[in-house]
Amino acid sequence: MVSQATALSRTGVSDWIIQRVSAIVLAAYTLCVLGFVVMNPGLDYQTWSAYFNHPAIEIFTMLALIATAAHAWIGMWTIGSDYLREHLMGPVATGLRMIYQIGCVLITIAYLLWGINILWGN
Amino acid sequence: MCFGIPADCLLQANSLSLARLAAPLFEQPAALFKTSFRYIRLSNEYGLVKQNSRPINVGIVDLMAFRWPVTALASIAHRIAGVMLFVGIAFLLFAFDTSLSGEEGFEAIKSMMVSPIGKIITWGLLSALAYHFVAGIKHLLMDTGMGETLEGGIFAARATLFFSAILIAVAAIWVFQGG
Repeated sequence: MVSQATALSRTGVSDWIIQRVSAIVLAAYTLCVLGFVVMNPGLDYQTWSAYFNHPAIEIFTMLALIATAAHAWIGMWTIGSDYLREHLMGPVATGLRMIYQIGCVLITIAYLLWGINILWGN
Repeated sequence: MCFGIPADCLLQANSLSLARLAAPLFEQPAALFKTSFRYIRLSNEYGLVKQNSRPINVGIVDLMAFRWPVTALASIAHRIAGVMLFVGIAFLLFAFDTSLSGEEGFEAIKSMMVSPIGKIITWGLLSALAYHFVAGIKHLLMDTGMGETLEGGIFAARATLFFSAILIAVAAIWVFQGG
């Protein structure tokens, strides 16, 4: 088995499970937040900030941020390793894929830190 | 036999049906089955499978030669929606950050979301989210062993397109009709 240096967890099976678990967390979180917005048509700041200050929602948001980072890392890695390949574009593909995957990972980590900062920063 | 081509070679050419060519298009846990994404290239000269020809991986250029089954469309749309969401996270975090910064920030995001560009971005992200959500549910169901036949895959892909189209239409009404 070839382990991929830029993959999230180095093994396909582990990546596969992480992708599913994070998907379920994100699906539940989407329904939770979108449901709240749909149920409150004339949403005001007080209600909105109170919602995200609730401990349960804070923890759920934190879980969703971690799930987003893992899910995006695996998804973007898969796309890069499928399309940026030597037989499509020659030897330049390896370097390009490396830059793409490192770029995606850095953006993913930046998103995660930004999200944590919003959630716990103030 | 005919033209001096071995019979088993002809047999292999016959068995190279569309289903087999399309097999790599059905999404599998990519990292698990990476090496199975292979097919044998058809010889350009004879239209027959060259025996012992080196297997190559399917690439974008190769895929252009084939028609796009609904399963392939559903699969590539899932990826496109995923990339849209990856880019969209920046907009979501910006909106999240500003809306929680205070009363002014909250109202600023509200007015941004009712501007024409804001509505298009909101609807675009909701559409990507709706599609990725439905296609993801399809994946999770198929992971349990449901619909793993060719017919099952086609049905699941059609159902994905159908249900996501409804959600995208609902999102359009919600974003463009509402305030």
